[in-house]
Amino acid sequence: MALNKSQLIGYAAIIVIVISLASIGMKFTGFITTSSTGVVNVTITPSGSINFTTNFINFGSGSVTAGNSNATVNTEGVLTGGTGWNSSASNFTLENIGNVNVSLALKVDKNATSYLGGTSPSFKYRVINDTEPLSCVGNTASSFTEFTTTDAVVCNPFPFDNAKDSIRISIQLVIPSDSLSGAVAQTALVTATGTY
Amino acid sequence: MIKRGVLLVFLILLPLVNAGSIGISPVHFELFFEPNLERTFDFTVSNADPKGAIEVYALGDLAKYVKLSDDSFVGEGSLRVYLKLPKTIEIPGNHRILIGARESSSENGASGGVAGIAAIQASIDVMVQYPGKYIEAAFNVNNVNKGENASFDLTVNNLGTESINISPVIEVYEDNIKLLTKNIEIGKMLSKDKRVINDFLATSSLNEGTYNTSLVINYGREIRISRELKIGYMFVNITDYSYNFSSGKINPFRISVENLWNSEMKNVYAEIVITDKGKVLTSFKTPSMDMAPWEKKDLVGFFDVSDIPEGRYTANLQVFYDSKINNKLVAVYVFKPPVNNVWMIWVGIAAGFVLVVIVVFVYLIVKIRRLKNESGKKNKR
Repeated sequence: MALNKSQLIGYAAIIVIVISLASIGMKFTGFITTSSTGVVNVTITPSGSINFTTNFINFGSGSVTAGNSNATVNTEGVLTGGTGWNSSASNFTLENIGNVNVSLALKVDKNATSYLGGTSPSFKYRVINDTEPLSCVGNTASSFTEFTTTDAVVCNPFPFDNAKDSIRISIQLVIPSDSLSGAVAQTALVTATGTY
Repeated sequence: MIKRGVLLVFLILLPLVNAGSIGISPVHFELFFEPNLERTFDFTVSNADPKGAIEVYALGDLAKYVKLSDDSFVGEGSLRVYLKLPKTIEIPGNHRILIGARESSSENGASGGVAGIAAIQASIDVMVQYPGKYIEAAFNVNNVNKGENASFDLTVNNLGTESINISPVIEVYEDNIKLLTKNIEIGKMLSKDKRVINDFLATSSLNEGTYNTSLVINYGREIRISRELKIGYMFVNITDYSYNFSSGKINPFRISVENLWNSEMKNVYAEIVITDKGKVLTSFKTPSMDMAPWEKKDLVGFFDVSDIPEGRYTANLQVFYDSKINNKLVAVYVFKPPVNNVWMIWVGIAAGFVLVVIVVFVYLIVKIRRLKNESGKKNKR
């Protein structure tokens, strides 16, 4: 009896299905009579990458209390000389997610004078190296340090090891009573630059 | 409440800036300067946000000889850097070109507040050779435990225009006494040659402690690089402790310890036993912690001095680590907290002031009376 084309395909499909089902749970055992060595070449290209996991600080609105020449607010829970501002704003969190150590520098696009104005304003940062100690080697900003508009190296290196690759950066503003009044509709940009 | 002064508002409705990361790969190229050399370098730049804009740039004194294939990307992109070096560069040494990628600040449409943007920079080092003989070297030696040989890494670059012959020597010293010498035969290095040597120093016979190692290379000039070498042993050293405690309350008891083992030490803790003439008064433990190689940490427990009278006592500090104990007997003191006598100083100052006022007042009264008497006598005359 001659099989037509579609019957042939049908039988072949049934055979394939049967063999597939039969092989479920099957273990192949036996002696290896010959062996060969496989070499797997894996090249990992060095990659530099940093990540701002928390990258916005919102101090909200507030005012300098009468009789004070300025108010201080920071992301470490401090608010003195003023009311309203949010001192519980989160710190910046920065992580080295690459596979090489980098040096880390910080700068701002506006210094305290152009950002806040008034008499003796201050715009400072501090690198907190606590959640993953040793993440900021040679920390040059362990206490509050005034921002500049040029790169200031704060960690060298900023390692990539998972156990020590994350820092927090707290921000402190000293807002003079004669500071820029009204809504400050400008954002100060902090640039964190990792350099290999 | 009346408020005066400036109202400064940082108005933000939403954090408009998403958490951002920026990456570049590879991160480094290096080449020797050649007149009019033309090279291209390929980088991949990326932003964690597929829609995130990336700005790219070049920095450095040779950046003017660099041309970038693109100024910006969205999400990810392949950046080709064209470098065409000039005919001459006067200053020998390394000239670093930085190829940077940063999150686009134009994304940060927030109105107020402080926003962070990330940038990453790869480097292209262009080495301009020094005329004549000139080498640079890097040397590192790794700490070990007692009985082990210390590995070291030595890299020598011939950055001069001439060939050199060198035989570096590594010496190990303790208190300026030379204990070991290792000679390394490198021999002839042509201009632009680089040699990397990874080898061991025969330190297995040295006792635990801290040593100085010096690499010396003499090629007409001398290069000397010193590095500290620590040979560790399984020991947690007690370097400091609290010994003064205020009576009538619970005091923190701090023990400063140092891991002298070139490996991690797990579950390090202390037990403190306070005795008075052999009689145990109290004992307490500190929480346990892990210590990295050579790490210094504080173990802190709490000493309840509520029922212990003032006096001198003996504390047995026992630091437990890896089934071993480091023991130290020390004297500790319980004392009455000093009375805050600042108010007495103020009372003294006030009393002195009042006394001065009284003296001046009496003096003025006596003076006025005398003047009155004298003027009365004159009138009588």
